[in-house]
Amino acid sequence: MSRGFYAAASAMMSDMSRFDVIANNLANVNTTGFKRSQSVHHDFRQGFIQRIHHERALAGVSESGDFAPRYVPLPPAGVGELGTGTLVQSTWNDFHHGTLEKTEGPLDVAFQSEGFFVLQNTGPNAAQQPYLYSRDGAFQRNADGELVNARGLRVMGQRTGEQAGQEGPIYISDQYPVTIDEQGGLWQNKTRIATLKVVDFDNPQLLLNRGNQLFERLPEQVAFDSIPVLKQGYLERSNVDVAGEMVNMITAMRAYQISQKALQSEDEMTDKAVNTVGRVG
Amino acid sequence: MIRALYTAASGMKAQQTNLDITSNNLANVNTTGFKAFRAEFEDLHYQTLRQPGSQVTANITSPEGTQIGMGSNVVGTPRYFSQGDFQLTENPYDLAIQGDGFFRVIQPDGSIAYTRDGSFKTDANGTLVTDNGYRLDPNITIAPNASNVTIGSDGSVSQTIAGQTNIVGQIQLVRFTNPVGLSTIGKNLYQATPASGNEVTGIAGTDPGFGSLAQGMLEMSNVRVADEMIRMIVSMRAYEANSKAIQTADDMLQVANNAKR
Repeated sequence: MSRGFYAAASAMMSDMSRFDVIANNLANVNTTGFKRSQSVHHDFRQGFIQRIHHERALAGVSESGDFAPRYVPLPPAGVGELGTGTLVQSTWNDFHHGTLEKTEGPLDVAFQSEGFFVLQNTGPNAAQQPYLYSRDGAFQRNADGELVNARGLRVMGQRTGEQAGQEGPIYISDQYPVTIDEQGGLWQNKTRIATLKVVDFDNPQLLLNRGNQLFERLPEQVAFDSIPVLKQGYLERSNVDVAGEMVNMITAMRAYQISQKALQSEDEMTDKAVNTVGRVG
Repeated sequence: MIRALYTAASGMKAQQTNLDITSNNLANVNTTGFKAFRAEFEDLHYQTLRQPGSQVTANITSPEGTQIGMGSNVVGTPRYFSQGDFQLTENPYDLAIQGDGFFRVIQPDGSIAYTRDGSFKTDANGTLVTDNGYRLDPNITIAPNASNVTIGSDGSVSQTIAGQTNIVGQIQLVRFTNPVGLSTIGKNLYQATPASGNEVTGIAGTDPGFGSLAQGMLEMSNVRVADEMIRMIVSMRAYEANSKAIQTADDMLQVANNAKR
């Protein structure tokens, strides 16, 4: 049927997806280390429309001497391009920093720089992806004394002492309080026991969301070591800005309404074509 | 029907839990030895509509994927084991722990529980018990005619009978690798779990990592009212924002329904 019908419907569908992303951002307005997602919309492949009855009028005089234009057919030519709708092309994560909240938790760490903590993946795809990445620094100590996140995944660090330079889970003794310095060094009893492993990526927005504030890297992405600026006793809050998301929500809602109106108008026109123009008898 | 409805509902539910925790903290603002809770959130699963790096044509891969999240959830409610303020009571059986450690008490069913609430009393036999009548383990019994009961910073209890001072016993403290992993059973009591690890017994103020005891003092709740108020405002506003998202989702469905006249 008419192209506009499908164009309007595609716009409604993509506005719905846009709204889904906004709703997820709003649901995570209090999630530590959460990074908001943004959907990107793209137009469909454009249709190329051509002129029908493409001809040129030439001045001419009829046999009786009157002015009479002559029509010369021309090779088919394009009028231009006609959009046929829109779709959600992709979503990406906005890695703007969230504000820091003071928690005074001894194992709470917040980034004041770029970077990700490295956690050991224990999921089904651990063989391909040994590590997961997160900005959420709400850590704990498990029963074995290892530093873990809220889900119990081990936090990776560089060991010091006899196993210097080795990477692995961080073991914290229960004898002394832990101090974490700006560069991620963990200190107990004036001795550095380990350094938190911190990595960064060239294009962090390409990281895949795994849920639980965890990100997975793409096979072609390379995690390189990075020197962070960390703050102990603080957590990075979600970077969702409620006011901004409300504006986005209104925009999505109105765009949705406009597309619905376009759909209705298209329907009315078809109605006219079928029931008024094409009336028989 | 529409993802956003459920996503926003999960956000509202998570914020409701947040408020539940905040109100419990506020209700315990005067509970001796109480440690404040906090809610920790996580984002839920993502629906991957298109994997980043998927093939667009034979030699072009898409730089970004499409992932739509499904909301948020409370992942845990850890406690803050920071030190509460001290209150001077001058009651000889009131004990405050300055630093790490728990008192070990025996419940009526014989199982072991742990507490930071040091407001002990003596029962009819002169045994030190908690407010609920649970005995300390190992138990300490004060003679009925004793005067001047002194509890040292290491937990040694001494009494004076007819001018003679003798040591009655030693109050032991326990500590855990991960106190956040203790389970809360109410009445200011905790129980050990696999997450907390096994108890480590020690002498207060002497063994490394153990706090010391202060007689005649109580540790008050570590809940800070201002912090809780801020948390309440934040969770309330987040709740509102999510309810707006539900309304908008509803409006969108209405618009969709009205497309057909």
